[in-house]
Amino acid sequence: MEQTLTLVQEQRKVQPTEVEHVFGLEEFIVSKTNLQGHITYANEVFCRVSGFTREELIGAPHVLVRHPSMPRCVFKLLWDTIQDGREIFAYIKNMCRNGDHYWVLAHVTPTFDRAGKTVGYHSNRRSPDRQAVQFFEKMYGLLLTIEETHTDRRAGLDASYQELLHILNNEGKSYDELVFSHTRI
Amino acid sequence: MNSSSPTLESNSTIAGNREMIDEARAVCRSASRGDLEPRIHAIPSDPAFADLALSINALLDTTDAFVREAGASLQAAADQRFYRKVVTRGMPGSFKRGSDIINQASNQLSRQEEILSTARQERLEICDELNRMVEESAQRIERVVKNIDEIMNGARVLALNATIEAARAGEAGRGFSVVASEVKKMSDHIAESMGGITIELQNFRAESQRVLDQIAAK
Ligand SMILES: Cc1cc2nc3c(=O)[nH]c(=O)nc-3n(C[C@H](O)[C@H](O)[C@H](O)COP(=O)(O)O)c2cc1C
Repeated sequence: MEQTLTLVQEQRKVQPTEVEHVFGLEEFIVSKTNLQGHITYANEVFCRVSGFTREELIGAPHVLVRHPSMPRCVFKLLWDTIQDGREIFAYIKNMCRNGDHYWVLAHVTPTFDRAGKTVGYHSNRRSPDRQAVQFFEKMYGLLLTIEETHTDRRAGLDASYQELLHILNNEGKSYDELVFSHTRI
Repeated sequence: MNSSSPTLESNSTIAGNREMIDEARAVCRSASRGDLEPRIHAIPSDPAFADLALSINALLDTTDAFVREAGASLQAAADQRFYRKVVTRGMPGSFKRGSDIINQASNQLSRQEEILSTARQERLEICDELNRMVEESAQRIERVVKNIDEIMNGARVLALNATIEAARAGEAGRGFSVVASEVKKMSDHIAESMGGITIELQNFRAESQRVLDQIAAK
């Protein structure tokens, strides 16, 4: 646990590069987490693309692969949705161990036990649609700028989340619908 | 993906990889009972046994992904959220073909829903049109009834005047007085029939309104 914390802290100091990693159209990056978002399972593709070993990933919080250019409001939407027991599709930019990055089309779902209680979360990530990456990169850039104009973290998150809702409202779509409308599945 | 699979090392033994073998047995057993959650966590250092463990995990990951996707997209289609398709990206071989078939079915459902909803719209429009026609005819009939009523009132006044004139003419007007009272009787009779028509018309309006409402509600 202490080891993984220092790993997260180390990753925060890694300088992002412009190098993008891609993975195959017939592959998934798979991870499972507990209710706190700590990784309990990572597949081979996850290790290969992110550059972390399985030992490093297991037990680490999922923020380990967080890329600094991702706006926080996207993760708020993600957590709000899965904690409400629903699935979400999202475009996410992740950072590799060495500062490179990879884009994914993530499908995050709650895992229920037989009694219907949420016991953890599961994420399947697909190779993204390039056109969608362009769209979401621009949108996330705007949302991140809004977050950075606030010195107070909470206020920044509230403002960018409002902007996200505003964008969705203008498009007349839910976030999922927006993802699907930009993705050739 | 791995076209060249690692081969067993000369010192590979089942006994040396006991932990993984036991976990693999339990994981496969659960999966065969429909629980796709467990994975093998004890990945051994021996490349061939590691590959076996990772291949079993990969098989479960793909199967799990397909099951989650198929269920969620069919549920979405049932809820008429037709945009939520099976995301076939990432699905290999048979899983991709199965996903494509589900998406075709969902498209089919979506088209049928569109046809149904157009038909529903058209039915509503026809009902509206019929309603308007019934109302217009009823109003025209009402106007005719009202005209006839007015004419009959005139005829009654005429008959009354004729009776008075006939009385004044004495014996010579007797025959005419009979005619006048017949005219009055006849106009009373017609007025009564007109009242019947008005009631019939009200019933007809209410009944057709009821039937059209029923068709529209379907
Ligand atoms: C199943 C699951 C998968 C997740 N996958 C990612 C991921 O790929 N990348 C990421 O940055 N965050 C992921 N998260 C969200 C992280 O837990 C975290 O909320 C996020 O990195 C943002 O952290 P922050 O709000 O502290 O900035 C995932 C969470 C869950 C439950």
